[in-house]
Amino acid sequence: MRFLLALLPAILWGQLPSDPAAIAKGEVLYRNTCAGCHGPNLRGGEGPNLFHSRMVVGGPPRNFFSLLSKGRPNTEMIPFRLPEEQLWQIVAYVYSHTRPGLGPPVPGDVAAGEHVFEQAGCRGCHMVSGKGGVLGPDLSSLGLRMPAEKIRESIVNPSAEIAEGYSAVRITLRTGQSMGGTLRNHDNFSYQVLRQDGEYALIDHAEASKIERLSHSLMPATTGLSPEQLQNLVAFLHRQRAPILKFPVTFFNY
Amino acid sequence: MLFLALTLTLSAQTIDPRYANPNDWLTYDRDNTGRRFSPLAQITRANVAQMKAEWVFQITRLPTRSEATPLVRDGIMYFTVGGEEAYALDARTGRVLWNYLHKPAVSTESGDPSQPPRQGANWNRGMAISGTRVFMATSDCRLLGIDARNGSLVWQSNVREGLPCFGTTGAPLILGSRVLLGERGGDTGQLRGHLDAYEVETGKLSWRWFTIPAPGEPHADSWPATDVWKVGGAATWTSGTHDPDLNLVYWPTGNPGPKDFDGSDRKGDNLFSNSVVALRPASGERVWHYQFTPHDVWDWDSNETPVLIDALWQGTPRKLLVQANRNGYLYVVDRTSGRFLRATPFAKATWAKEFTSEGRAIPRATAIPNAKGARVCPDVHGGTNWQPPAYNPQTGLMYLTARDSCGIYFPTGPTIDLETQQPQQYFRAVELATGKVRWEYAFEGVQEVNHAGAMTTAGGLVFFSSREGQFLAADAGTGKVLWHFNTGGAIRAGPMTYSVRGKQYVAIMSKAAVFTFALP
Repeated sequence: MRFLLALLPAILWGQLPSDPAAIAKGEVLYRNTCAGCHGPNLRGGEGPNLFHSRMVVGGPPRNFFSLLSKGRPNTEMIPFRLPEEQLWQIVAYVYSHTRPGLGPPVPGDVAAGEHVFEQAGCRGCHMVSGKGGVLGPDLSSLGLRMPAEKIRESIVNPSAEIAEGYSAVRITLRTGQSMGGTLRNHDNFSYQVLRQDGEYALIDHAEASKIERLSHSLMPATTGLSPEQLQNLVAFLHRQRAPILKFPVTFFNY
Repeated sequence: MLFLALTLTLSAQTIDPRYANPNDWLTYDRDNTGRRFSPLAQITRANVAQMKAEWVFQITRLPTRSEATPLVRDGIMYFTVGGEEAYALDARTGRVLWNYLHKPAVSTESGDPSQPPRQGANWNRGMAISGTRVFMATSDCRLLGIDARNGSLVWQSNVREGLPCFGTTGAPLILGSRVLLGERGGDTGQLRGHLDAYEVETGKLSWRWFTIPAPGEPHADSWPATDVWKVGGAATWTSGTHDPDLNLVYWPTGNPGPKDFDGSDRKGDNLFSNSVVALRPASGERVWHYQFTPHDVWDWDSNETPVLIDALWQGTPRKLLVQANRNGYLYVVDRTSGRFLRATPFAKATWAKEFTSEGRAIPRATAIPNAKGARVCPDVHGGTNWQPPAYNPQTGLMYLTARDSCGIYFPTGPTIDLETQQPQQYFRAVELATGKVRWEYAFEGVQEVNHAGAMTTAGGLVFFSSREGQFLAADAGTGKVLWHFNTGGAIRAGPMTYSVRGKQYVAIMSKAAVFTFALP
């Protein structure tokens, strides 16, 4: 019995991330227990923004669980004396936001998927494990950030949802020069555009005569893949789970 | 007229063509010479009083301190925050282009990943840049190769593979196809220092040079015939400089151990601790060395910048290496041969009785730590420390943050002698030609150790800071303060300057922010 109890957390954890009921219970618990300090949307308040926590975003689940149960000494993060199952539900709810990609491995041939990744030219714009282009987002931690269905949608219909900092723009300068790229950052005074040649164009509003925010992604829709190839590609991408905590540029603005 | 001719001669120092663009600042010390001299001259003695804050970048994940000097290339600024974060900003606006947050594999020392890194391991002095890569050292002894365009990790190498890690804190240095980096931990009693060169492309270790010779190697007899050489310290925790014409890289080393203040188990000179060494960039082969403090028992690391200056020396043009050492002396060495030329005190220094003609310092017998306590100047923090100095060829002056203070040294450790002399922090300008202090600026207020560095420009200015965060600009020739700005947090870094689209900026990290300034 003691043995079984010791295993309980691991067993619970194995199912929780993909269990909508557990996540729903976790949400209620989060609202009642955590939101007062960490905010209703996890983005902090009196307490830290959970998206900025390396432990929450990339650390082992056990560490997060242990923090909930033991608290952090000399801080206002007190130990929460809840049943273990409920603590795991909180973990599951938080993870459903901070690492929404978690879940059981996607069926498919990962090696064949990597081959598709190379053949289809994905690496021309996307890095995985330090190799590839820079125009699109680095995909090394995609499997933590995105559920499999969403990965599939991004491949088939890249413009459905464009990653923050990667929307396509065409800027015409007062000099007549025109350039395209992704709008990595901007405010009322300046644009920071990563051009298609991988160089940055750092432009003041006053210098631009026209800025066109394109509604479509710079990424071409992937066509010509068989259903099996697509499945393998999704399996490969969903397996990319490097624990990289990467802030969108807007993070620094609030 | 004579002065003008002299100035022109002195200004003619050629730097590595890699650093020829006056607008950029591409190494910790701007270029290969370590002078922290920028040819930018839009901001001058005449107009610096009008200089205004341009933008501020606040670091969200608060570091304990910021020791980095930002780099700027083609209008993009790169810097580190502690040994875990890298940033790229639009250098005109401060807007973020990317950030990289390193996940330490193991925290230092404890070996327990749940423990925070030991204080000191997470300080960091900035990046190196080459092509589409930037490089930084981390608190868990990794050297990272990061894509300069999107902040993605391209490779990481473990500088202390199979060895205990005490952190890597220096800014790496690019030498052709290699990136050089040292380590910290010289005071742990567990380190045999080394300098590594890694391939820029792959992160593969190209060569490793140990700062302490193994038995049988040249100068191994400067250590006793015991195993103490294996833990003799001599860490390499700052950046070096290099001379492409002589094909030499110069790297400074730290104090010997395993016990900093009790040398009884390490009799001898303890080479190559507290030295500067000249190595071949391709192989790490040692060509010459000069030791500043033989058999150091005061923890006077010699990791201060080896500044490379081409100047007239007693009427003859000469390639010099100048270091303002923690032991309170400004050293001038011929960097072709390592031959000692001169040592003169720039801060209160009582430990040395004399220097031999070969440049060997002879310490006073009374300066050696003993059970009763040896009163010695400078104190353990030194006449200066790792904070970068600057040299302006137009004034012939070396600028440095100095400290007059004395210590009482016991074999078990030192204290500061507060009874006979209150510590006093200065910013000093020392004449290279004579070794004399031309002018000084005494800091009022807090007299805790000031680790703020210096920078000087062709605009006739020198920039420096107080311990409490006042950032100042002075006339490089006279020391007259022309401008100041309260950054509101401790400054423990060196300033830098750059230009984008014809506008000159001055930048400094202070506490948890980057500040930039420019003319209105």
